[in-house]
Amino acid sequence: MARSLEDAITKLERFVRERPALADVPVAIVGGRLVTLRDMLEMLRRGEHVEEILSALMRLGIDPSEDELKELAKEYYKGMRGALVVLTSEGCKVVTAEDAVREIEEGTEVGRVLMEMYLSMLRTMRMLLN
Amino acid sequence: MPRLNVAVYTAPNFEVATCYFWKAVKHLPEYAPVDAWEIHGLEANEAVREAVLHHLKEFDPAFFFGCGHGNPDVFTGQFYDRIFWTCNCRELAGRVVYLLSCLTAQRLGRDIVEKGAKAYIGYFREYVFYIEVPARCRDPITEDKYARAFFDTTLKLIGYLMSGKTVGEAFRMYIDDINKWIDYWSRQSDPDAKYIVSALTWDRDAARLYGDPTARVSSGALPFGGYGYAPEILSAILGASVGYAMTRSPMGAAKGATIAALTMFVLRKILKRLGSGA
Repeated sequence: MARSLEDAITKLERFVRERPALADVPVAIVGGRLVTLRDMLEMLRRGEHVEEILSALMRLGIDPSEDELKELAKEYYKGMRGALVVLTSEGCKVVTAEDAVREIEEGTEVGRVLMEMYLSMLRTMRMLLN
Repeated sequence: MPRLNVAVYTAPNFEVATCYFWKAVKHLPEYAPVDAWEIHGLEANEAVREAVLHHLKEFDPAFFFGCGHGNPDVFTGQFYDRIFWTCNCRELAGRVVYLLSCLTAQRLGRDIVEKGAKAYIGYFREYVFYIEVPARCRDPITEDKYARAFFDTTLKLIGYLMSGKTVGEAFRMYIDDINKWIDYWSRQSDPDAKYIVSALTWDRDAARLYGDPTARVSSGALPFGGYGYAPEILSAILGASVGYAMTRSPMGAAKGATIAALTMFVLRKILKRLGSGA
């Protein structure tokens, strides 16, 4: 993972350029707010929260706390315009953005799947960032 | 002994998820050499255990594939009719099985292989896909651009098997295809692209292959029962000879060849259709 400011900016610039679909995924809480990799890049360029961002990049997708994961996942799924079709042991669920937030908040089986999917996504992004 | 180039599949259709696969499987001819195959589809209300068992016994296919809801021990069909379950799947012995269903790789898939199936492909976790319009069933290949990646890769997997690839080769190619779609969607600016990427990643990581990776379900992708286009070619030669003999001109030979080859092609299509009962 990025060990210096320059290295981090280079990696983030490349990622945002090559993977625009993933640049706006909320990935961490920095300065008390949920941020994406694109946000991190802009903040690093301005010299804001540098240590916090570098630390967040080091930990991307690695054992986030349950609360942090929940907040990030809910923010992530809020942006859905289509829907996820989830085949569970209880049948089929068509999950819209509103459904996703509710399922995560209520800790249902679908909510668990959504959170695990989001975490799996973070790990993929970590790999792509490097 | 299960018959190569024979397949039975289930495609229930009673809610959004099953409807998507039911629509997708209509595109199978675009992905697989169906002319070289005998395919028996059990769709909608036919996708039930009784019909599946009858078809497996009657047609003895080397390849069984299906879409349906599941759990670690059960694969279901129309309206959750239980088709196979752990310790009750001996009918799949000797066959290659692909279940587009959630969780069956946890236990049922292993049991299918332990009870004698040559190989099984399925999923260890919940299966997920992304659609453009909530609660509407659209054709995932031609109408729903977000769902396309999921069903394109599924149909390609089935097509690889039907084209003669081993189970191991087909599975690796399936994973590669998913990775290509992940790469494609991750490079798009569409705000929904990230949800497709995460669902594809999830499904890819949940996919499992058990059993013999060298198993095959096809003798090769030759149309019309394995003779290829040999009858058409022979007909063309005969037609050219007759055409030349009658007209003493190359044009006559060409016309004779064309008419004879086309006639043979159409005749074989008709006979195949009559033979399959379609």
